[in-house]
Formats: sequence, structure tokens, C-alpha cells
Amino acid sequence: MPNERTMKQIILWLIMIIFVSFLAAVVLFILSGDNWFTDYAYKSRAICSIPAILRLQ
Amino acid sequence: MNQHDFLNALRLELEKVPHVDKEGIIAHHQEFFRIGLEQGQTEEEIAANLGSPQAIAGYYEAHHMIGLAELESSLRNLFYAIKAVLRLGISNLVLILGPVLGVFGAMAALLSAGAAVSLAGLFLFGGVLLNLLEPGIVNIPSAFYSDGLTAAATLCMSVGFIALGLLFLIGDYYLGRILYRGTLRHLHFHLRLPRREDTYAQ
Repeated sequence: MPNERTMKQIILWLIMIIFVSFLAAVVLFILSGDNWFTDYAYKSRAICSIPAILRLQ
Repeated sequence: MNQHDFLNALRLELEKVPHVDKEGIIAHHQEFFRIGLEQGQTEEEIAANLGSPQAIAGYYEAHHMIGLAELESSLRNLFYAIKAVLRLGISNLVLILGPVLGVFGAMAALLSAGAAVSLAGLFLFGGVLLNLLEPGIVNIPSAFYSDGLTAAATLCMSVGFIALGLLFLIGDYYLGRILYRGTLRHLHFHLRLPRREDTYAQ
């Protein structure tokens, strides 16, 4: 196993990758309009306004 | 069994246990006999109180194995330490094997969960890429790659899953290290439980 310092860097990189990739995925799903993600988001009213606005456009 | 027979039997049993200070242990038990005799007990009574030479040799073997597992962390050493403690008595089977199997089961479940999240991300990533190159080659729901943006979003999501699974596995590794040390402490605790010879050590 790598030493503690390298492990900390790997963990930080993984956290950044997780954050950025999921954020990018949410933004892209919303931008793509009608799909399974926006359907669920719309039904659950979690981010209901964004897909609704996109649909109106 | 008198002192001579007892010490001979102990010496024979200790021959089977490598890396222990045989002469030191024999001298230690000779001292118990001396103290017992001073207290007015017979050699047979002292030998009966000390327990069987086989059990005493097993105790020292278990002690050595735990020390080895502490010195060099590996599953093999941990397995040998557990096996050595289990051989000490039937009560250890319940008090050690139960918790140890529980810990191993929990660790296996956590490792599987981490690997499953990573592999799910990896398969989704590969599946979407292959379907973009040649549609229908891999059977995954078209909702994941119906248009360019959705496919890009799914690829980002799958990268997130791969990273999340890897982070989960790293967490499992650190948890495993804690549980390894905890298991060795548990084994030490069982070895420290009052033994017959402690009557003379006091």
C-alpha cells in the first residue's frame, strides 16, 4: 500500500472526482431535457422548477 | 503426576512449539512447584492445579502467534493466531469464533459493496461507450444514451460511481486495519483471563 501522504492525496482526488462528475452529470441531465433523471426530479419536486423551465423553452 | 513427570511432559509439548523460550518456561514452572511446596502442597496437587502440559504449551504458542501477527500484519498470521487461541479450549470457540466470524462477514459485505459500486460504474461506462460506437452491442436501457447530452451525463455519473466505489474500498481498508488490531486485542484479552498458574504467581 502507498504511504499515508499518498493515500491522503488519492482520497482527496477521489472526493474531487466524485463531486465534479456527479455535479456534471446532474447539470447535463437537466440540460438534456426529458430523461429518466428529470422525470424523477420533477415528480419528487426536488428541482422541479429547472426541468419545468427547460420544458417551457 | 509428580514434578519430574510434569516438567518432562511440558518439555516434550514445548518441543512442538517453535520460537519459544523453552528453558525459561520450564524454570518458570519449577518456580511454581517450589512456591507450592513451600505452601505445603504436594507435587501432584500443584501439577493438577497448573493444568495439563499440553494446555500450557498451547497458551505459549497462542501468545507467540499473536505477537507475530502484531509484528507482521497479514491475514495468514491472524488466521494462525486465531487457530492457536481456539485450540486452548471449547469456551474460546464461542467467545472468539462468533465475534471473529461476524467481523469477517461484515468486512466481506463491505468489500463486496465497494467493489459492486465500482464495477457498476465501470460496466455502465463501458456499456454507454460501446453503444455509442455501435448501438445494440451491449444490452443496457436506451434511456442512458438516448441523446448526446444524456450519454455524456451517464458517462460522468459512471465515473462518479467508479470513484465512489474506490473511496468505499479505501475506507474498507482502513476499517480492516482497525478490526485487525481489535481482533488481536480481543485474543490478548482471552489469554490474559485468569489461569490456574496465577494462583502461585500472586
